[in-house]
Amino acid sequence: MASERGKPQRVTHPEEQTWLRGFVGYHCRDCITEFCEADLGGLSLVEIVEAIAHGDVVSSEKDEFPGAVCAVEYRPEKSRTLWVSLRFVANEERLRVLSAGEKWESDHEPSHVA
Amino acid sequence: MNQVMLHDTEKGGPGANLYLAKSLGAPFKVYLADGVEIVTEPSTNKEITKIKDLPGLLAAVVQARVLHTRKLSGQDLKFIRSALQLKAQAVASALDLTPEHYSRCETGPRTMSAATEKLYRMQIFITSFTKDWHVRDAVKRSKRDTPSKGDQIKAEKCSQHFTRSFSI
Repeated sequence: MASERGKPQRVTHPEEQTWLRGFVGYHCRDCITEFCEADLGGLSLVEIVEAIAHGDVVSSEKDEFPGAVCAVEYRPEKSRTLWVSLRFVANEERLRVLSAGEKWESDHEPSHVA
Repeated sequence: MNQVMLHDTEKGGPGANLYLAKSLGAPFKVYLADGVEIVTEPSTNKEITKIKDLPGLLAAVVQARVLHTRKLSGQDLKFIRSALQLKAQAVASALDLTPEHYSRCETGPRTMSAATEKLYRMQIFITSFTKDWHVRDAVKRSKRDTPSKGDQIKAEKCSQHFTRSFSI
């Protein structure tokens, strides 16, 4: 796969990435997306779906049930990066947005931590 | 597919039992009649919104918007493209526009001609329709079974929408 700037990038969590992209890829009719509006960090659901569809899973931790807690990053513009922290439950086709936000090139910290 | 209603005015809404989907990020008001559940999580006391088939919902919102006659703004174009997970270059190419021209349509300085906007609406309608799981499921089943009554009704509705909105 290639990053936004065309540089090849190593996919470190291919299984999680495949699952998440499948989730937003119109393949699951009964999939449930859960979120608390206060946790979205000013991002809209469209931006979150876009980040999952085009972004990279940068970290993943196995959970107690089938699934994982993942962090996804996506750079829609050169200076702006969206990040989303998610928990997915694979056997229930359920995705929970834990927190989300955006960071700008000059920032070192996320703009919002829920 | 989820039932979606669009609303133009700032004040008021079409009904009390509808959920106003502010978090979708649409530049217009979207009311949902079903497919949404709001629960309070006992452990955190947070209000959790649960949406069934979010990608399908976004496709339904997009479909409703392109069938609405109001001229598409730059914000509408950006929302539609993001909601369908399309790349700007792919949209520009489908419309025979340069990526720069299309980008200016999204950011505001330029608008699409009436003919280009009509072509855009038709392409987006078909794209969003094919992302509906009812349709994907029907296509899969049609390879082995004859179409069911439900599939026929869905196809007929789509045909009516398309003819009403885009035929000469």
